[in-house]
Order: sequence, then structure tokens, then C-alpha cells
Amino acid sequence: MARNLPDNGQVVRICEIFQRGSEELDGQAVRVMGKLETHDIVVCTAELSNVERTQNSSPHQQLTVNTRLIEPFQARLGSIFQMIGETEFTTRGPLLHARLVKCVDGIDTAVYYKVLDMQRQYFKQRLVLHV
Amino acid sequence: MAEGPSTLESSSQVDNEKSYSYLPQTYWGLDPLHRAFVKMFIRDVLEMDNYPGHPALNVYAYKNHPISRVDLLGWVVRVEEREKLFNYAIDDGTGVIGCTCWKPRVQSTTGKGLIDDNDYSTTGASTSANSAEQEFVEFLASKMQEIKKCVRQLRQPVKLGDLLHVRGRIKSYRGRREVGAAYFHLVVDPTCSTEIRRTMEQLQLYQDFYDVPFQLPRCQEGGDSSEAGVVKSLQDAIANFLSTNSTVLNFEIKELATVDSLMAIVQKARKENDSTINAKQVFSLFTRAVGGLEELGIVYKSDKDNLYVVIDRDATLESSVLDIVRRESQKPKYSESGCHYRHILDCLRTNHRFSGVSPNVVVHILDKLESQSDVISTSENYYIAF
Repeated sequence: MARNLPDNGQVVRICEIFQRGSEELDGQAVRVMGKLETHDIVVCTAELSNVERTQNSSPHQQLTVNTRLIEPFQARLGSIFQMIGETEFTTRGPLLHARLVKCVDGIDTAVYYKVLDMQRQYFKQRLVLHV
Repeated sequence: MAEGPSTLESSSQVDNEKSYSYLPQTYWGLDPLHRAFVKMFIRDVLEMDNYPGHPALNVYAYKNHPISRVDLLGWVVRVEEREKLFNYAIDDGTGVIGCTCWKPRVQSTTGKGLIDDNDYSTTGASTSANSAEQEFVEFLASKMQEIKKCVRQLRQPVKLGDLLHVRGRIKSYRGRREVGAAYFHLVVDPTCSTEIRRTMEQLQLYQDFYDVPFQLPRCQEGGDSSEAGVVKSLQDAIANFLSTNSTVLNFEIKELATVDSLMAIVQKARKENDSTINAKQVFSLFTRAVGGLEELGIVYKSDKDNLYVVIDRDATLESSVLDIVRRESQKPKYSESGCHYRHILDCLRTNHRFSGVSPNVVVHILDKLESQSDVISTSENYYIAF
């Protein structure tokens, strides 16, 4: 039977997850992109580091990912991956329960985030016109 | 704000101040988005309401465009396989929607499937007809292989995380909105460039086309009771009147108001608008109409106050233009390529009588002279006379 559809994974930056915090994003489905720093197949965790180049993000921000649902995947350390999953804000910081993963090596991150910003601005503009 | 004439069903949405004029069903075909596979964000596909007035049809309204088909590109987040179809959930970052992708109904053959070409008995010497047949048989066999390969591919489900391009109609299945795919294809996109390009394209499409509400082209006949329509119809009527009444050489606006047929138009407009029009407004309507005629080149304003001259009946204008062209063509500067009509206009305007002549009038006169073979057009806009 047709189950309920999974939640829509809105595209966010890793730094935004840290910024926005748990009030807005806890339990929400998101799509993030980051460079794979560590990967432990036994414990099913991985860490994605920031690849954006905005002012308030640094390459040191790392997002922990629970990869139980996507193991085993072709995990090359240093490659850029996009993941969709639900966020959970634990005591140790935000954790992403990934359910989809895709390797996007070769992506133009600057263009990707620029287009994301354009899209967000368009939606914001639309909201302003409606209200 | 004046809307188009066919504002039959205009419903105002709860969160909108502006209400769009929704079209009756007969006019839907005029909207280019009606039967096109519209590239939309999935969020919009889910949020669109039914087109007001037609709750049963699967036609949805995006800012008064009637939309029934969509084109989507997104990640596959859920795969469900049934006997005859696949149900994929597509996520493009703004929303998730289910797509029903039907499996091809070709029956799978048993065995390898190669056409047995031993059936064709080849006599000793292969004639040209036979070899052509042989070639055709081989060609058919290879085509069959290709088709089988495609069918096999379509039978396999797309995996989670793949990018899927779907085109299909919006349907409602068990209360939930779905897309019944008429076309679906796996997109190989290792660097996300297709996704990025698609988002940029969609933003452009939204701003240029989807967000612009569809407006019916104005109907020409005097059904339009807005002011611009009245002036236009008045203009046409005056032009008609002038061409039929050949005795009219020049006129003043006040004289026009005495003509019955022209006043009738104003009266009709007044009745439709249901407002009182006083003499001053009538005068302004006529002035605007005559102004339009001036721009078209049918009349021009002479130096005597308020007197408009009909150029077709003004012999002196024609002869002076001809004189000017002849005179200027004598000069060495213009004797080869002719004079530009604007130069002729300048010369004409030095004459006190013709100071209010517009360029269109000159063009009109020159065309007339050319048809009478008095002037020759050397190239576009250049004229010469001998």
C-alpha cells in the first residue's frame, strides 16, 4: 500500500545547520554537501566537512553522519558527497541520519550555492508579493 | 483596475490581495502553458489548487494559468515496485511527490529471441533479391535486440539516490497528488551540473512566464468599454467618416461632435460605462482620437487654430512635397541617392502652413506620389524625382 511519502529534503549548508540550531531543524529532512573526512564502517559514522566559502563558515566545521542506512557505500576520503537525511540535535552536536548518498566529485560548489541562494531569494520574494 | 472583458469567474484567494481573472474553459487552449509539460518546483505542484470552477478536472491553477502536465527532475527517495508499474517518490529539494511509471507492456519472449533465418531457403546462386532480404532480416534482428535491451532496462527499477526525469499529468490518487508519468528517464549526472542548470532554467521560466498572469488578447470589435477602447473605436469611425465623405477637406473638432454616427459611439460607451460624460470629456475623447489619426498620417494640424486638414484632399500639400523632392534632387548632394523622407519633412516644415505635419504624413504622401510615378524610391526611405 502507498505509505506516506518521506519528508522533503531541503538543501542547506553545513554552517547553516550549526547556525540555525535545533529549534528550526531538529527532526527535519535536509540535503547537505560536504567533503568526507572520516568514515568508520564498523560504527557506521562519518564526518562531512564544510566546502562552502562564506564568511562565517570555516573548513573546521564538521557534521557527524550516521550511515547505518547507506552502508556500504563507495566511501573515498576526500571526495565530496551529497546526503539526504534527517537531522537530530544530540548533546554532542548535530547528527545527520543519512538515507541517501551520492558522490558529486567535480561539482562546482560556488555555482551550486549561488543557485541555491537565487532560488531562496525567489521564494522569499514570492512570499512577500503574496502577503 | 480594468481587467479583460471575460472576467467570468474571478475568485480571490485567501492570502492574495490581487485576484486573477480566471478564464473559462473554452479559452484555456490559448494559454501556452495549458498542454505543455510545465517545469515546476515540486512544492508548487503540491500547493496548486484546482482551477476554480472545475473541481473535477485534473487542471490546476498557477496564477490563472491552467496547468495539467508537469516536467520534474529530482532524486529518487523511495522505490515501490508493483507488477505493472513503479512508484517512485521524487525529491527536488523543494518537495516530494510520487510518480507512477508504467512498465512497458511488451511481452517477454522465451528463448534468445533471435529471428531464425534458417527458414529462408537459399537456392544455390544468391540473387540480389535474396541478399537484400538477408540484409533486411539481419537488420530486423539487430533492431529487435536493441528494443529488447531498452525494454529490459525499463523493467529494472531505478535505484535510490538516482536522478530521475519525469514528464506526466498531475493526478489525484486516493486523495494524494501524484504524477502519472508518460515519460521517465534516468539521468546520469555525476557532477550535479544538470540539476544546477535545471534550477537556473526554472527560475528564469518562473520569472518570465509562469508568474505573468495570462491575459486574453483584446478583441477588436467594440466590446471594450475601457477608455482606450472607446478612443480606438472613435478613431476608426472618424477615419471611416473622412474617407466616405469626400467633401470634407478640413474640420475642427467641434464640427466632429455634430456628426451623428460619431456621437453614437460615445453614447454607447457612456451607457456601458454607466457614467455621465460631460462635454469636456467628449471633447478630450475626440482630441485623443484625432491625435491618433494625426500619428497615423491621415490628418495634420494646420497653423490655423484647431483646424485639421485631411491630407488626401489637400492638393497643395501634395504639390509642395513634389516640388521639394524635385528641387532637392537637383542638388549634387542628393542627385545620386535621393533624399531621405525626413529631409523632405524638414524642408516642408519650413513652410509656415505645414509646420504641424508629422513624419507619417510625409510617408503617406510620398507613397501616393510613388504610385503615381511622380517620384522614384531609390532605396528604403530615400526618394528622388526628375
